[in-house]
Order: sequence, then structure tokens, then C-alpha cells
Amino acid sequence: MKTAFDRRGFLQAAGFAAASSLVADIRAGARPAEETARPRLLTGCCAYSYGKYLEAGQMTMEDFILKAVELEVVGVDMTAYWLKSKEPAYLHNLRHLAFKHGILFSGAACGTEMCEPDAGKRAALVTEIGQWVDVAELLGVSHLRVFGGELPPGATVAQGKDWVVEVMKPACDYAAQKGVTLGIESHHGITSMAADIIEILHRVDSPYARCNLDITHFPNDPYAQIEALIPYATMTHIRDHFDEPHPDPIDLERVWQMFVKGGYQGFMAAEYESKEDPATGVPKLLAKIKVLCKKYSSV
Amino acid sequence: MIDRLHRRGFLQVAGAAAGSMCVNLRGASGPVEGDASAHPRFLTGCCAYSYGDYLKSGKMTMEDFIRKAVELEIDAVDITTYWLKSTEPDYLLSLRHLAFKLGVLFSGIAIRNSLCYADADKRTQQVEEIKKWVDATETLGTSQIRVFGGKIPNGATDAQGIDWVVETLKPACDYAAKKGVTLAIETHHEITEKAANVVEILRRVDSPYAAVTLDVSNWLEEPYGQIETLVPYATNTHIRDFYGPPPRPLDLDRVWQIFAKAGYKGFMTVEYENKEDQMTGVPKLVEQVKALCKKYSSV
Repeated sequence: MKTAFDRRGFLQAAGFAAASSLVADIRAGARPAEETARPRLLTGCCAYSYGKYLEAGQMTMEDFILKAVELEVVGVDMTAYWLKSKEPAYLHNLRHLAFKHGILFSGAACGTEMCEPDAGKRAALVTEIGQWVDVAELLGVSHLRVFGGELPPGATVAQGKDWVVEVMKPACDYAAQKGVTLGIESHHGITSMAADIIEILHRVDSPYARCNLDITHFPNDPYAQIEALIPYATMTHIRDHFDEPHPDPIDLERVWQMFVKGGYQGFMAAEYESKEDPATGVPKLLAKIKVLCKKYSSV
Repeated sequence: MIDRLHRRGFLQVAGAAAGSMCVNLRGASGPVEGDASAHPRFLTGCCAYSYGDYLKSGKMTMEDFIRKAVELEIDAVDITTYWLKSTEPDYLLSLRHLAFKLGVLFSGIAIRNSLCYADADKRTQQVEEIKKWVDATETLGTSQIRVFGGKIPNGATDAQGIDWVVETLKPACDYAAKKGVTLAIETHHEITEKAANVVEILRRVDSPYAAVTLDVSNWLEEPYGQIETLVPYATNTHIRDFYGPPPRPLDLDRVWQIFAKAGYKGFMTVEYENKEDQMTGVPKLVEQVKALCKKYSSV
């Protein structure tokens, strides 16, 4: 239940008069009313949630896929940091394991950051994202999370956006040929503000450029910023606390209501990062997500 | 809930050897390890075939069918390939992207073919044909293809027919495995009339990428016993509320109990074929499937 005040505050803070009309344009183009009338909120979990165990080698990606059966979620997101290789045989083995267990892949997530001042390095980043698109193709997934990245000291936000667009545009051209959407994550740095992400997506201007909406990283007006990005979101990261410096509990019910209002159709994926051990903490976060999806989803 | 008498009856009919094959295959490549029944996963789905009258007459496109899944409020669609406009990557990727944006999953695709040819050249042709569809499946980003066993040629024995199916399916699976795609032979009368034949075919093909599309309706007799035999090998299903010929009612609650007991993890896919107009008939069968999935699924 967003207030008009929050929304106005956000738009003023963004100082970007075009934001609302851009939202309207893409919303109108991509989301016919008869489709958004039926929100589809599928339960999911990122491998990142078990990062502590995956990092320590106490859990493999195979274990994580099987964990999803126990967690009783629809999909898993393949955080690429802990993939053993990009070899087709390995990736097909993971795909087949998930398939046999009725586990869907919501997507994959790589760590590539696009905000790079050096033109030569930007070209290398396009190639790097392309390699992860190939991984996504082998896994049979249609979504790849990418990062905007930190703004280098001394650079302006306008310059940063230029650099991100210059990387994301050719990367999306390649991803489109493989049926893979690149979802830029709302994740600090150049992607701190919804208006900047919207401008980037508008300038990349590809149906394969969308947003991986992490609901926790906004420095101010989080509910208004989440709402502004829902029409562009093809994937989410869910936690129950906002990030530093204001780690307040998130009103997840309010968030779900906004996704419903925006006609969101995709995964609601736990990306657990609290201090409690993931072995006990992840199931608690998922319990909240499952209750809300059951309450608000048409499937 | 399986009728033990039926089960014993089937094993006697099939011959004592069938029982041990079943156990072997379950151990080697069955879809579930550990406590199979702990977390049955039933995802709701629908075949394009359910709307065959509308797709055939051009009143519905495959795009319309994908959108229909949102209205039906089901997880997934199965792409019966008869009504694809082409196998051009651009067209297939546009369908994949449409489904992705709507949060509609692909359970797989289904092709029209026969694996049961006496003529070696025809068998080779079939392998080549299946390879093309494996490539199309890769482009769609899904992981299984329904294939038919086919009609036993006049004068040939079941044993000969099984030989020919194995000779065709084995090289086709070798190719599909390289793309992460499973070939799931449908229980569809003819050479696949009896569960024991299907089990023998899978045992001899001996590939983790060979499985069953378990159509619960295509049985002359003992549907529950034959379904129970094949659930461990099933990666997809076709659901109707009768079996035959001649058409007799099928107890779908009993069918779901059999799947739950075996810990099935995958799609419960409506393949409507009643006389009532598909526009009104499909939603009724979908409602039954949704209610049963809600009752028995862990997700």
C-alpha cells in the first residue's frame, strides 16, 4: 500500500521528470491488461543463500538442487560463483539432475559488473557476459543476472550510465540470439536508484534487457523504488531486511501487494544473507515467501 | 493405494523377468533416490493438443495458447509441435521469450513420429528427424521431447518391434544427451500398449536420457497396475479422466495417490480429448488436475 507521498518523494529525489513516462511506455508495450490481471508468483531460492556452505565446499551445486526438493520450492537460481566449470557435460548434468527432480531453473547469476571507464575493458566484459550466456543456454535457462557495478571515483552518474549501456547493449544483442534475458540487478553503485536503472533499460532498448529486482538495496524510498521497477522485473531477490545503512525489517506483505498490482509474472527467489546459519535461516525466510505466494499468486 | 492383486496380475502377465528389470532400472536411473515419497512434486500443465481443434483451424496460434496458460492459472505448457509455424530459431525464440515474460514454464515438446520401422533406412531417417527436434528443443530452452513408439508392422512380433524401437531410440538418445534433452516415449497403444514392453525398451536403450511420457489413459486393461509400473520412469504425463478403448472412467484421485507414493516429481499435463468443445472442456479437466495437485504436491 504505497503512499502517494512516497512516490512523489521518489520522483523528486530522482530529479528525472521522464521516469514516469518511461514506466508508462514500457508498461504499456509489454504488459497487456488482460495478462497483468493474473499475477504469477513462483517460489524460488538462489544458490547464494547457501553461499557459506558452497564456499566452504560443504555443499555442491548438486546438493543445492536436491535441497530445493526438501525446501519445497518451484525453482532454483544458479549463482555461477560455485559452478565447477563451464563445460557442457558438467552443466548438462546439473540440468538433468534438476529436470529429473522436477526442479525448475529460474535463471543463472554471474558477477560481471558493467560500469567500466576503459573501452578495451568494456569490450572484454561483453565477451565475459557472452560466456555466461553460453552457460545459461547449456543449463536451458532464459535469464541471467548481471551487475551494474560501482561508479569509479571522480566519475559522474551520467558517465557511469553511458558505460553500462555500452556494455549491456551488445551483450543483450548476443543474449537475444540465445533466448536469454539479461537482468541488471538493483544493487548499489550505479544501480542504487530505480530511475537510473530505468534510464539504462530505456537506452539499451532491447526486449532482452530487464531488471533483476533485489528489493533490499535502495538507499531511500525503498517501496517507491521497488514499485517503479516491477514493470521491468523478470526476476527478484527477496530478503526480510533492508540492506545497510537502514537495516529495517521489510513489510513483505506490502511488497507482495505491489508485485500483484504490477502484474508480476515470475519467480520470487530467496537470497538469504542474515547472520543466522543458512541451514536454519533459509527455511524460515522461505516459509514467509511460500505463505505470501500462496496468498497472492494465481498459480 | 495400488490394488495388489492387479499388480501381481500384471507381473504374471508380463513374465517374471519384468519384475527384476524394474528393480534394476529403478536402482540405476530411476528419477528418485532416498525416501521417494517424502516430497512428491506435481506441477500443473497443459498440452497444446488440448486445443487441437482451434490450433488446427487457425483460430488459435501457439502464442495464444501460451497466453491461455495464464488464464488457466497453470504452471506450464507442453508444445505439441504439429502447430508450430516453423522451426526457425527466430520464431522459436519469440515463443520462449513470450512464455518467459509471462512466467509460463515449458514442460517439454511433443512430436509425431514412429520408432518402429522394419526398414533400416527408415529407422535412420527417424533418428535424423528426432535430431532436428532436439535442436528445436534446445532453442526453446526445455529439456524433454515426447516421442511415439509406433505401430508394429503387419506380421511382425512384439519382440521384433521392440528391437526396432531400441535401434532407433538409442542413437537418438545419444544425440539428445549432448543437448541435455530427454526423449520420453509415450504410452500410446501399439508397441507401447503394455507397460512391460516400455520397461524393456528403456532397459535396453540404457540411457539416462530415455524416459516415459506416461499417458494415463491409453490402456486396454489394468490401468492402475500399468501406471504404477511406469511412474518411476516417467518425466512427463498426459492426463485424461478416462481410459480405453472402450472408454471407461479413470479414478484420478487413485492415479495421483500412485504418483505420490512413488515420489513423482514433474508435470501433470492435461491432454484433453473429450467431445465437449475444448474452450469449455479443457478448463474443467484443468480444475480437476489443479485440485489434485494441490492435495498431493509438496510445492
